[in-house]
Amino acid sequence: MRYIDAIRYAMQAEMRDDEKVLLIGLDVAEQGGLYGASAGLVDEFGHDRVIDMPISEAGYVGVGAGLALEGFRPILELQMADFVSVGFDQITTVIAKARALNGSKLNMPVVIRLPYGANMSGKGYMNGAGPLHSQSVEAWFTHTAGLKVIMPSNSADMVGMMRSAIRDNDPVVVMEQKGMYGEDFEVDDLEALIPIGKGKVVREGSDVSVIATGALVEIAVSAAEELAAEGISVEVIDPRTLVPLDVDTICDSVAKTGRAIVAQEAALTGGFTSEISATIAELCFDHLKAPVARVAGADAPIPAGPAAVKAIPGLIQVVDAIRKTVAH
Amino acid sequence: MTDKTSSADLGGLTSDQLRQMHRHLAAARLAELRVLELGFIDHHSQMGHEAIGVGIGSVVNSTDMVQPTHRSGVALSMTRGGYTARDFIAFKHTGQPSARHQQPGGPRTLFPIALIGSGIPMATGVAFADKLKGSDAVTVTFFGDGGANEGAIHEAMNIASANKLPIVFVVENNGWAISMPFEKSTGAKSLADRGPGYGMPSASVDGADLIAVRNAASEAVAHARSGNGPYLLELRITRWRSHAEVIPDVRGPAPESIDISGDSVARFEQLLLNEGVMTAEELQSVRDEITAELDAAVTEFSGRTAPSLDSAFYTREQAWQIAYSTPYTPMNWLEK
Repeated sequence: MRYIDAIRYAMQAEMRDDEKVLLIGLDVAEQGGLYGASAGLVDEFGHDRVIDMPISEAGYVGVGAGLALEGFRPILELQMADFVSVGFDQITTVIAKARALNGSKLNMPVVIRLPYGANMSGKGYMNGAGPLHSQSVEAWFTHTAGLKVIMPSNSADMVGMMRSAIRDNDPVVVMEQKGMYGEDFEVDDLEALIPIGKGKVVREGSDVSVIATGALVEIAVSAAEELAAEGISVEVIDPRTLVPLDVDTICDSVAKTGRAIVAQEAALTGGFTSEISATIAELCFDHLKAPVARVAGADAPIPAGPAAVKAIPGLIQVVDAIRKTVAH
Repeated sequence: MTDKTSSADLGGLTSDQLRQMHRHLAAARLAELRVLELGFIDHHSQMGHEAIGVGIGSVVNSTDMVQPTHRSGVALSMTRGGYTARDFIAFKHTGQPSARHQQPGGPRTLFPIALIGSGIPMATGVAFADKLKGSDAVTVTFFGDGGANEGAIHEAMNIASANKLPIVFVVENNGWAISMPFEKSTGAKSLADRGPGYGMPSASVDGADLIAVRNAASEAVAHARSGNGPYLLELRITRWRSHAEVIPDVRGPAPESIDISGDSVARFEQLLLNEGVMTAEELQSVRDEITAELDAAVTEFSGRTAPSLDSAFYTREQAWQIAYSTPYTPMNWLEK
């Protein structure tokens, strides 16, 4: 199933199950979403549940908050993660804090979907679309208490986790790697709900743990396959959820291998995998044989066109990091 | 935009209704004066905004949603019912109950966001919910001339107009946003001028004229309730005191009294006297009753503060429980 079809499948399943679930965004109705994530949904559910909004991110994200207070479960689609900054105040000031501002008695069941990132793997639609259409912005939200942040890296995880996100009574930011929208992944069980807060051992290994997020997960697996031929056994961990972080799965792996690399598409400084790195250093220090290495994007706005590869990490950067860590 | 600057009548109100409104007005004013006397330096004065709260509070019902401000919120909640002068004194001393938060069993109230402007899209979402549900409830959201310039309010008004949402946007224009005078903050001569830009009817009304406020609010709420979309109501008064007691006012120290034209309470009392609705003795009697309530409340609550907290730093679990509704997941590695 394609990654984008997994998104639609999950939304449709939840919308069928609960008439309070709404989808709100730009071009989500007749257009079916800029990338097709909501194709056909307005025909099935009508305009009272699949709602097009004017280009007003602060307006419609805040409207989503009001709807959530009144018994609805809105899914708020931002047309690109880069545009979320226009509605950022609504997310961090209103949505993230509504519960705490009301004696922790209020729920804010909002899902905020962010198509992020550039085209990583040569597959999919977005190819080097420039600095304002390529950003990985999860760290803006992982730093804001009151939000949960998930980053499913494949269709199976997307289906199971998107459904959990829609059912969650807390606000959940869903990071959707838009370069992977067109990519096909095996899905064994379409109905399996995957809990938020649970990571996964994607590939077992014994020499080094690569904790990778989003598009870097399959790149880490490619690196592992390449390095297996050289006798380096790479374990790949996908946290799948950033907040709350599955510390146990990560630390169990690092305790086993003694070496850790964290890998993200997002820019290096202040990125979320720096949080993972600090957590590993804090909790697993005595197990470490080498410093925790970081693979991340450049601290610069991402160039347009093919030059994007100069700012976004790929297979070369992951393989290099593994070799250096193992050689330490 | 219609320009309504004076009331010609008593709003079609009965004697009892007028007395009731006076009582709310007086309660809001006397409670305010007592709070100033008690010296709460973080207090954001409500002086001069009373008629806005009472006038609007008298035309909404308990199923309508209001999102009040720190200026007219107490008067508004007193008028809607379920909030008293004693409650306000208790709130100042202990932090509870708030006139601007939903009270159990109370009329529908939407919590404020301290960044004025940021909460208005949320109020617009409540109106959207009412429309989706086919409810005939109206939402009334309030902000000042300062907050009115926030971009989020523009977006909210536009969405409300495009979708014909049942919401009234009330601007309490008191001429000042801390030290920014209204004339410098915008090129518009009246904030009601913004309504037509959205295709939204609007009015600019003397906010110190209780009958005029009530009449205008009545029209605005009826319009929103009719399914014809939102309404923008500017209520103009003069800010009496500083933005907050602790902040020096660039104009200088606050006057003890202001011209009756700007004093909604004195003005309404004069109207009641002139029209023979109440005598001077009756007005004083109302003040005395309220003063006694305030005295009792001060005796009850003075010396009380908010419950003291365990001062130990939040654990991860405690922090989680404040911010999230789902259970905290203990992890082995975190507990070692």
